[in-house]
Amino acid sequence: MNCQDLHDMLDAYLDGELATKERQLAEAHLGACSACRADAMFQQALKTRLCQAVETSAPDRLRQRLCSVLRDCERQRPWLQRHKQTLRHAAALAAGIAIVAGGWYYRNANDEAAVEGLVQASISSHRRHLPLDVQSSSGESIRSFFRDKVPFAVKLPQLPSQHARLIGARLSSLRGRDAVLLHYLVDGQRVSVFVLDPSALPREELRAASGYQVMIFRRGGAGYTVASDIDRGKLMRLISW
Amino acid sequence: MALSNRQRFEDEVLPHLDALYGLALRLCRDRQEAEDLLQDALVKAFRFFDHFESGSNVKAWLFRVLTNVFYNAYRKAKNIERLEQTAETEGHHHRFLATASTGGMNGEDALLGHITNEKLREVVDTLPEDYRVVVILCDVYGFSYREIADIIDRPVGTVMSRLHRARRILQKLLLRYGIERGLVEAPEEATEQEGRVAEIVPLHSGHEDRKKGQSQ
Repeated sequence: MNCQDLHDMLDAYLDGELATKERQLAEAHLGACSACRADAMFQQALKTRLCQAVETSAPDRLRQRLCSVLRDCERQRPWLQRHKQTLRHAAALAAGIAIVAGGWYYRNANDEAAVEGLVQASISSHRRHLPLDVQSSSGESIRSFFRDKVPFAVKLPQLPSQHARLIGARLSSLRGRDAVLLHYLVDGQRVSVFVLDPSALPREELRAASGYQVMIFRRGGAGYTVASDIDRGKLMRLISW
Repeated sequence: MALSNRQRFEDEVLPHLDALYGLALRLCRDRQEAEDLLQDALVKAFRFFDHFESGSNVKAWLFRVLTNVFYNAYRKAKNIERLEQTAETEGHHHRFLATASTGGMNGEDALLGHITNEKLREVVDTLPEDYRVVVILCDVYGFSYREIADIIDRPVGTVMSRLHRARRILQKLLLRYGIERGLVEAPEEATEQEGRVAEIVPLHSGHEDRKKGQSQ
């Protein structure tokens, strides 16, 4: 692989769209060529920064306005007559979150496949939204329910209880490993936290995929993946990434 | 008690409101207009909700509806948008990043570390819509190339070429800003190019694909 080849496939590499073989070729070239590595680092950092810079949340009054418009639609009112309210400009966007770009690391191809597998499995399980085995807002009763059912201690993550309401849990599995799925509601939006043996996690990761935000991390001897409907900023504040 | 159609719709859609609003805002670049776009898109999605297959990716579907409404009703001055021709000069920039004199830091830290989120949004907003939408769907929302292709209703090859060019334009604009601000020093070859009168070409559908086809 030469520089032009790398240049042509750099986007697909950074976006995780390359097959394992191609990814290994790209990594071999990046390891050997400092100019291409500089370019890749810049593009990777740009991706991360864009994500933080562009994300935003809808103002509450917009949410209310949309709900009221939908109710109007339901009542068969002439919905084409949009009632455009005079809207005052919303407050300045919340300050961006500190840069978490972190250092550049060479992605090990096996790790990458494992991370991608975990991300997809977490999203898929989050979307299926299957019934819970135990409904409880008490961490203690959930811990005792799963005692002897999974081969690891079910430690609940420390989430601010005023924001995150625990609903319950169910036995789950991610990539063939046992996991306990904890179901939380954050401002009415679902957050699925999977507790699993930390050895099942190849590395820590924060990634958007298929429109969902996914986090993979270790805390206090437990492994976690989180899949959620909420935006990245809110999720990062919740988990104190 | 059975949920009404509207309640089911709200349950599916409201969790994605922030994300939809984020895209609408970057498409319209105006809060008022973004709110109107979002409202029109949700009304349309609600009307077609019966046709939506439950279990498929509701978020991708909503992004598709929003993008459609934008292109059909909100996009201004179709085909007039102009774009600087950057294809011939882009090859030099990664060399430049490796060699730029940045006081010991690499180009990424020297440049991106000094650019605020506001400035970054401003730069993204200067991208032509076709490019802006793919880079946002990919980098901010993490949709795959296949999902983006479905959302904007174009082939995967078009998604890839737009993404590639969008990022190169962003890189160029950010470098130019960095040079102006003295965050990075311009090597001679870059100065020469910056001094050249930028060639302006109209952007119309399929331009980048045809160009790519010719050069192969």
